[in-house]
Amino acid sequence: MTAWMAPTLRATTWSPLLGCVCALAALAVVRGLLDAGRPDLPGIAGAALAAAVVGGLHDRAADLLAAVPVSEVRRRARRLVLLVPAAAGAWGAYVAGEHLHSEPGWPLGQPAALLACGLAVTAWVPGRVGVSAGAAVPLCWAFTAVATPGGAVGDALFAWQSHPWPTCLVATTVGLLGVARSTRDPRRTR
Amino acid sequence: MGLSLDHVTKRFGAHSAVDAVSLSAAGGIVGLLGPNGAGKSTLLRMAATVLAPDSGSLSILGRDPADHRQLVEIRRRLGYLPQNPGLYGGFTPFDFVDYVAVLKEHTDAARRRVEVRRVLEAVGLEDVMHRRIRRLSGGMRQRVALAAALVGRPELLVLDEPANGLDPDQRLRLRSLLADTPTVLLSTHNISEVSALCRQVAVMLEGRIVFTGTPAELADLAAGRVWEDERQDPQALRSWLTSAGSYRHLGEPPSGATVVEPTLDDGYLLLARREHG
Repeated sequence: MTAWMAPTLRATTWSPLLGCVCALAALAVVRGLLDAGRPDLPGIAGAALAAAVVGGLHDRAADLLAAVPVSEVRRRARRLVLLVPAAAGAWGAYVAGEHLHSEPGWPLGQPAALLACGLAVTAWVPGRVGVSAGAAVPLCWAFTAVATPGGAVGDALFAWQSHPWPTCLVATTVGLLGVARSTRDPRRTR
Repeated sequence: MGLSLDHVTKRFGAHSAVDAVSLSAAGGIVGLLGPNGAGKSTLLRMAATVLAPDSGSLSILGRDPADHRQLVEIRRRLGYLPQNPGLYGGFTPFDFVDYVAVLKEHTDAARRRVEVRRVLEAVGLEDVMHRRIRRLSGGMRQRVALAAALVGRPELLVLDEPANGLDPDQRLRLRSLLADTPTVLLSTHNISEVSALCRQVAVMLEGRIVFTGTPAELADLAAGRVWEDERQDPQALRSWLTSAGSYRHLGEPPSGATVVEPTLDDGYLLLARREHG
């Protein structure tokens, strides 16, 4: 195992993801008991999971580690290597649970699109505010889409559901541009 | 080598936190004195390659931090302690400093462990190195952060108020610790710390360096302008009650006043008063 993996596993902020998984499990139990639910709940659940992954990038020791040779971008990438599979597993379990209750299955594209949007914001917003802003994006977008009536604006707000992979591609490109800017001179992004 | 800043400016919105500052530290310990909000931490963050200046140039250990490759080279040779270092409460000091050593690219595990043990012993944490950080006192946590900065025997140390929370014994230990590093730039509010630690001192007020020299030269600024009296003098620029019960005054002494030897505090306070008008 590489030297960074064990300490990064311990340093990663797991509480948002753990909280989210507990909430999803509770939701699944309640829905099972009541045998009822809203059709937009899986979308909100995916957004919460995406937000939890971005929130997991919060680093308490970021200031102390700001001047080490391994850049913040690389440290965050290492955290994502650990967070994303865990979140994907949780999402898979949730989707399986939804199938058990005869709800339509939810593919990976929608939470991936929301996660990519959150990470893109994190890549562009400097400092520790970036993680909070990035974590807020999936939830804000999903809630706004649910709360907005149909029409052109409403349809556009559902782009993460109707066109998840193009949305994911655009957000990833924007995020990578942010990463490239940070890599050129990390001092400019703090 | 060391550190050289040439007309470095950093603005946050309309506010200039650091305003055309030139400073060099080419060996020994340089102390940065100044009140809260003077721009010390911003200046140190630029010196530690954490923040880029808006204008001006920096040379750190003979390299240009604006160049990515040189930036990484600088960071391999740099130790940085921020003002409020966050730590992972669930880690032990050993684990945390070991993680920092991994991030400082110490790849050989056996050598890394020896180095981690060395710095933890140097800051006096050998007895608690396997206790969780959340169970340590504030002073011990500060020493964990200091140990992290010392990993790899850096050529340049940038320390923002390193003696925060340290007891007198630890402050003495800090002095000998820093003596081993070729160049140290540290900020502090504690003037006695400057006289104990620093070969050179710079005073920063409202984003500008208003004095550079030795601690003795800073004290000399107040030569002939400090006097003590039983009563408070309204003509003095500053007056305060001493522990002996008399008033110590700064300014132009009246005729017949008992002029006393100035201290570093007197020089600093007079300078701060003069600069603020």
